[in-house]
Amino acid sequence: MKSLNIKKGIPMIPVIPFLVVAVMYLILPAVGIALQGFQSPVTGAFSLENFQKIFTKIIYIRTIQNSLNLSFISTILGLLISFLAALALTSVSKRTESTVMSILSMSSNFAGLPLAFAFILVLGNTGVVRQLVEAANLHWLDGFDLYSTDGVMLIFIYFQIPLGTLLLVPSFQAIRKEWKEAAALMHANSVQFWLRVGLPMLLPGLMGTFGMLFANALTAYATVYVLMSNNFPLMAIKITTLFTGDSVTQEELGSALSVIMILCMLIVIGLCNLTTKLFYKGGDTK
Amino acid sequence: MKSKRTLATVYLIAVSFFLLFPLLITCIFSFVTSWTKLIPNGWTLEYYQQVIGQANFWPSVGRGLLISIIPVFISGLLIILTMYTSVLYYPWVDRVVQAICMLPHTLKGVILALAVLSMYVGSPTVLSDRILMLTMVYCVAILPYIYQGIRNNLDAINVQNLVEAAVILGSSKLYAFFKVIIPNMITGIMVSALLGMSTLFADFAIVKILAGGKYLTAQQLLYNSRSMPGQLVSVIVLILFLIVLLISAGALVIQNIGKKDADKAVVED
Repeated sequence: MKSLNIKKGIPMIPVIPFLVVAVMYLILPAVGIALQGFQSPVTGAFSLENFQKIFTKIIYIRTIQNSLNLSFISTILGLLISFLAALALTSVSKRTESTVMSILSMSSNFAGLPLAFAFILVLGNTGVVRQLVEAANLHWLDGFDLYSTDGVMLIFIYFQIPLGTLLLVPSFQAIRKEWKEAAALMHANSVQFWLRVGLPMLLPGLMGTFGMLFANALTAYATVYVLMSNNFPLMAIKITTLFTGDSVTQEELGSALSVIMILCMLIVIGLCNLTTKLFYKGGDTK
Repeated sequence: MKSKRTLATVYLIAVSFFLLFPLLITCIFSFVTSWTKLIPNGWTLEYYQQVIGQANFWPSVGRGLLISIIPVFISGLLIILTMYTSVLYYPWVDRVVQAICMLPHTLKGVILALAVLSMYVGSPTVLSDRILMLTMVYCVAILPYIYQGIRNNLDAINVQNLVEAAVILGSSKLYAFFKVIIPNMITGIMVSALLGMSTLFADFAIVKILAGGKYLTAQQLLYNSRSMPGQLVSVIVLILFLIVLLISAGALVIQNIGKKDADKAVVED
């Protein structure tokens, strides 16, 4: 009996290295963060102290608000621009389409640090465009400060556009020309078609993309760090300083904030999935 | 219809312009002596020479590439090994592996790095080694991409039939897996490996948290040069962008070759 069990177990050996890595560098650290968030920094006992602190201290509330605001607004704007771009791609010539697709996939690689630096070179305090505009005595950029929420928002929207469009294009390709013709035969106008057939068909793609873009914006670190180092209250930045700060580290508080950030992400993705489930009319929702 | 097409084209030109603008300005800026009027005051290759001649530039690019290749390799190997078990013996293993591989999506970026750091930083063993932590976190961070890439490829070939055919012809399952299945998956593996590599090469957050100043990658070199002349920074920005672009373009090329081969195979059938 025992030898049979061993024989059955032998094919499992190749899975072991994967499991070891996953447990050591993914599951244990994740559990560790979750537990630490509920640990009192003083006594080490289970407590809600950290969460209490986060939700009562104005600086942490501001941090969470800022993160959510930035992520939501940049995602909605980014998704809107991407949606229109993917829609526009369906009605242009093949040549334009492939050129734009190349530009999109090229700029989807332009992210993180190089992107932030490019924006600084263009629109920063001594940025080329800013200097040119000022030299021409124009005041287009007077109200715009790259090193502020506006600047971060602009860069976030920049990296959302190629990503969002590339993710949405397949959904638009799934909408067949015949459906439009069928709708037209039944005297549906273009608005009615999109409202009743097009949008519901696109819903899974739209919601999936929304979740993806939101998670991307919420966790973005490098861009913000380059622009404002640690001085901008955003969750990803705050969590990092709580863990690795120059003065006192407050890992418990950082863990609690991490738990909140992950929850925000899961809630938004969950709501996206729920919306798809409730309103998708394409039949099989999987 | 005509006006709709024009409107769409105009909109796409506007979006493309917005996307290309920072890149274009950075590119022009890297070639100028100074730029205060509409037409730059003068042209020079001096900054390219400076960056390329800088003693620690290429080594840091090399370090960046190395620390992106090794984790991709490890991750790929780990997943292929699990597929050996799930494909040939226990299909349920795949569900577990998939669930685990999707986890890094929620623990994105800084959280995973910080969690690993706080867990192992105090360890007296080799586990507290920063480079080891960095390598392993990278491995885990790209699991979703590597898994999905390999999985898609596996779904595209009829594994069960191939293995059965090989076994009927007298080969062992092990032989069938490495000599028949793996070669069939090589395109998918290469594509996801290159995409994973370009993601890792572009990373700054994780390497900053885990390695700090101990392992200078190209991204950190870029960050450290932030107070240098703008032209110098723009040269580094462009070179790093080009490297990432080349790696992902490589993935696209391989994918297209694979597709063509597959199409051909279908035609020949």
